[in-house]
Amino acid sequence: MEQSNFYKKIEKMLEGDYKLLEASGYEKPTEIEKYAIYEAVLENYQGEKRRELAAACQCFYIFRKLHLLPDKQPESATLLGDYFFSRFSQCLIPIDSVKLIERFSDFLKEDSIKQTEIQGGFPKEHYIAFVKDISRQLEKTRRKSNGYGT
Amino acid sequence: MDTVLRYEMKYRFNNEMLYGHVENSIKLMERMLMDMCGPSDISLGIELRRVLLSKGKRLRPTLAFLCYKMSGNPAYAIEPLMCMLELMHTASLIHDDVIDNAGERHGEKTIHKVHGNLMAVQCGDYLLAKAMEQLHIYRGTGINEAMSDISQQMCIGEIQQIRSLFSMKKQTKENYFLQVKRKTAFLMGGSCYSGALAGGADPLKAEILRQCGIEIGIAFQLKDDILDIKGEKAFGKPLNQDLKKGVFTLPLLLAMETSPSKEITLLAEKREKTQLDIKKIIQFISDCKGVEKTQQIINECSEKAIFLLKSLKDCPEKEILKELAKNLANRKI
Repeated sequence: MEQSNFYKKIEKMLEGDYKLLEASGYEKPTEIEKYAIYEAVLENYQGEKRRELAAACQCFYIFRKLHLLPDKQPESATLLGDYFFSRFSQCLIPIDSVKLIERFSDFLKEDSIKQTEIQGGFPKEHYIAFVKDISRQLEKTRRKSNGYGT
Repeated sequence: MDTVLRYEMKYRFNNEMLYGHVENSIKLMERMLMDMCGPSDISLGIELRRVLLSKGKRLRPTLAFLCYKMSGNPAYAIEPLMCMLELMHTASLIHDDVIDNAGERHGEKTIHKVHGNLMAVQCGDYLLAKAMEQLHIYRGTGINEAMSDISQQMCIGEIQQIRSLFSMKKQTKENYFLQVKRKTAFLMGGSCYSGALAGGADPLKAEILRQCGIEIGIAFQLKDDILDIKGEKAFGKPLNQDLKKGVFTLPLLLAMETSPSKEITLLAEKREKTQLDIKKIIQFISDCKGVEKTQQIINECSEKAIFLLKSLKDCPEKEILKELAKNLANRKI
């Protein structure tokens, strides 16, 4: 029940963004792709702004996938990718975690360089593992600041 | 900072110390930017150094710096914010060049022309990652939220523009001004706003400076649109790119308002225009004084910007901002 409500709320947050994606001729992420990301957050982080975190992670995923398509669709893929990056940052900033921003920045730097050197496609499994890890890290920080044991 | 603006600021004000302060911060920002370009032994790093060293005007960081100094109560360093603005702006230019398939920018070959679209897009993304690194400095100030909202607006502006290319029906004067604000003016306003906040300004002062920046941004873009029609060949920019791409700018829209013409509408909406088509449209704009009317609006924006500044305390930076508003509206570059 909690999981289903959580997913519905994120879908509501991103409803307009998915419509924009579809109106531009792209498919929304599949249920499996979306829920893998939402689940990675839900299972590892219990604090405030979980929806924002899940939405940020989803927008970042779509941003990276689109920015691997500029040879096929230079105009729409580049522009929509930039849009999803702006949405990612809008969802991320209210979470107000310096460490989280640092981790995403490092991931993006590494991935940008990798894509120009190797062009291996977006590493989905590696990204899900990354989302789980940052969620766990946020949870650890939350528990520590609340005085719980780690 | 480009040569004309440097000349204006150094000699018009005869204020070597202030000129020195602005220039010093710009130089420090440029050194910081060089350190942000990534490893220097890979293509991405090499390209970013080439692009960041090219002759950009550094206008947005300059606006932020001036508003910072006008606020007089600095709570944060300004150079990281200047870097963030220049990184965001440069990333958007690199991506715009991919979207527009532009061959040159600031006299340099664009990254995608040299290395392909994927490299260019990833270079822009790398700069966005570096911009993110500065966010923690300005936590709780409202700057980060403002920047991400502006970034979204810029994307929406571009998306709307692409959706209405070659359509006189969709490209109304109202939509035009909305696009100008989203694509250009909001970031200039945001530069002023964020500089003011970093300088400790109260929300009212920061908002006044934001509005001033927006008026400057509108004037700047309108002038750019005039230059696309009437620019001088000496400046090396190919002319009439907007018309060729199906973007109808204010000189044409005002001309159509004066004298609606089915023939000109049909010509403008053609996706492949001949030289003769372009010549006819330019002549039409000239006959209806489209450029002169646009210049009038530019002057009004410039005056609005200066008027907004009247309520703020006098200081050398305020005078420079006023002169910047006038110079940008009259720029020949």
